[in-house]
Amino acid sequence: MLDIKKIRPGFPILKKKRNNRPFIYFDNAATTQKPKLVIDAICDFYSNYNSNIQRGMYFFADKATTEFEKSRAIISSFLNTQFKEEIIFTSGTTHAINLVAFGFLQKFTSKGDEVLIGEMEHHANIIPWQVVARKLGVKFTKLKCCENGKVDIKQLKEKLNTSVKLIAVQHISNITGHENNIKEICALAHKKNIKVFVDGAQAVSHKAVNVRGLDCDFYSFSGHKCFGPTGVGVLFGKKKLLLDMEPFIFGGNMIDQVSFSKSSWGKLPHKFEAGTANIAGVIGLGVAIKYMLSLGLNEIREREKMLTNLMWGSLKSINNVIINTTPPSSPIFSFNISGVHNYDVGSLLDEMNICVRTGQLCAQPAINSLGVPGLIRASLCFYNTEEEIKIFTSSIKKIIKIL
Amino acid sequence: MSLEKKTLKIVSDFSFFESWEQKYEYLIELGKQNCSLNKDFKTDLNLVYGCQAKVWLVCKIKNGKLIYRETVTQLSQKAWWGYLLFFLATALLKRLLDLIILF
Repeated sequence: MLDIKKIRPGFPILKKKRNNRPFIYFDNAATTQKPKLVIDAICDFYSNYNSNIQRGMYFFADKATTEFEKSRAIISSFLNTQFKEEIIFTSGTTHAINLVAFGFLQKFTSKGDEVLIGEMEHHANIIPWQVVARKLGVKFTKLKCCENGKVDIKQLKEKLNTSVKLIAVQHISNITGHENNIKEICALAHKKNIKVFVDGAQAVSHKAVNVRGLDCDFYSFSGHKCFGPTGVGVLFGKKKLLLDMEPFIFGGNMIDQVSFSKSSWGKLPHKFEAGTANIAGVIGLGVAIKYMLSLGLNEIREREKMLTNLMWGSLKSINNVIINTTPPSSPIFSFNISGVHNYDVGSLLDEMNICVRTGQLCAQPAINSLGVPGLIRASLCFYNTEEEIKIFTSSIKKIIKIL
Repeated sequence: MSLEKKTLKIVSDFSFFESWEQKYEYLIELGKQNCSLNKDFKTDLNLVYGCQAKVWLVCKIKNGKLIYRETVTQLSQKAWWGYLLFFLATALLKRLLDLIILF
C-alpha cells in the first residue's frame, strides 16, 4: 500500500500555496506533476555532463549517451517490448502519431484503402491520419463509440474489410477514463491483416502496459503525462514494421551514408530520431518510469481504484451534476452542472485553488457528439488524497449555490 | 457620467465586499441582469475570437459616441463584459482614444 504522506513531499509543486491555502491539482490528464527525482535528473544532466549523444569521443558524451540509452532500456522493459530498438523517442504522442501516419500510411496504403479512427479520439489521434489519408486518397472512417468513449466492437467487426489497413484508437479515454479492449481490437484486426495504432497517452500513468500481451503494432505515450518532462515521448513499433517504414523527419543522427546523389538511413531506432534529441527529457523520462516502478504499478492501480470509487460516489451524490458515463476504470471524470457554463465552474474552482480542465478537452468531435458546449474534467492520480476529494465535492456544492 | 467617475464607481462597488465569494456572487447577479443580444446578432461576424467563452459584440457610433451591446455564454464573464460596456457606454470616441493613449 502506498504511503501517501511520504510520497507527496517528493513533489515540490504539491507544497505550493496561494492565499495561504494549498492547491488541489486535479488536471493530471493534461499533465502530471514531477517528482524531485526527475527535476534533479534534468538538472544533473545540464550541470554535470551536458553534451550531445552518440557522436562525441569524450567523457561527457559517453556519459550522456549511456544515460540516454539507459532510458530506452528502462522503457523497453516497462512496455515489455521484444527489442530495445523498437522504442523510438519522440517529442510526445502527437509526434509519434505523425511519424506513423506519414511513415506507415505513405508506405503501405494507396488510393481506395481505408483507415478507421475512434470518434472519441483526442485531436492528435485524428488530424494526422485525416491529413495523410486525404493526401493519398485513402478513406478516413469514423468508428462509432458508446457513451463511455469505448469503440463499439460490434460495429468495428462490421467495418473490418480487406481495404482497411490500419485502426487508430486510444487506450484510455481522455474524456471518460474508460478503457478500450485493445487486446480484442488487435485480435480482430490481425485476422484481417490490419495494423493497430494505440494512443496510450492516458494509460501509462495509471496501469501496466504490456505491448506484447496486447499485440498492438504501435503504441505511443508522452513523458509529461507520466511524471516525466514535457517535450519527450515514446513510440513503440513492431521491429518488422519499423524496418519497412520510411522516416518522417530527416537530418543528422538518422543516416547511414550521405552524398549529393543519394542518402541512406541508419539502423533502428536512429532512423526515426533525426536531429539532436531532447536528451535531458529522455533521461528525465527514464527516471520518471523508474520512479513509478519503484512505487509499484499494482500499488498505484490499487490506490487509484480507491480514489476513483470515492470520487465517483461523491460526484454522483451531488444533485445538479450531470455525468453520463458508468464508473470509469481510471480516475478521469468529465461532467457538467445543470444550467451552468463549464468555464464559470472552472473560474470559481480556480478561486478555490482547485485546478481542473474545462472546455472541449482537445476532442471537438467527441464533445459535439455528446451535444454539450464543453465539460469540466477532474483527473486524479495516485498522489491525490481522500481529503482533496472531500474539499472538491464541497467546493462544487458551494459553486452550485453561487451560480 | 465621466470615464473617471465610472472607474471610481467600479472600484467602489467592489471595495464594498470582503470576500471573493461575495464579489463573485455580485458579478453573477449582474451577469443575470444583463440583457442579451437578439439571436440574429449571434453571427461569426460579431463573434469575439480568442475568448474562452463565446462573446458576440455589436458596436455602433451614434453622434460620436460608442454604443455597445453584447451576449456572453459564461455568466461570470457576462458580468465583466457588462462592466466593460458600462465603462465604454456612450463615451465620446475622441475622449476614449485619448484615454487609451494615456494607458
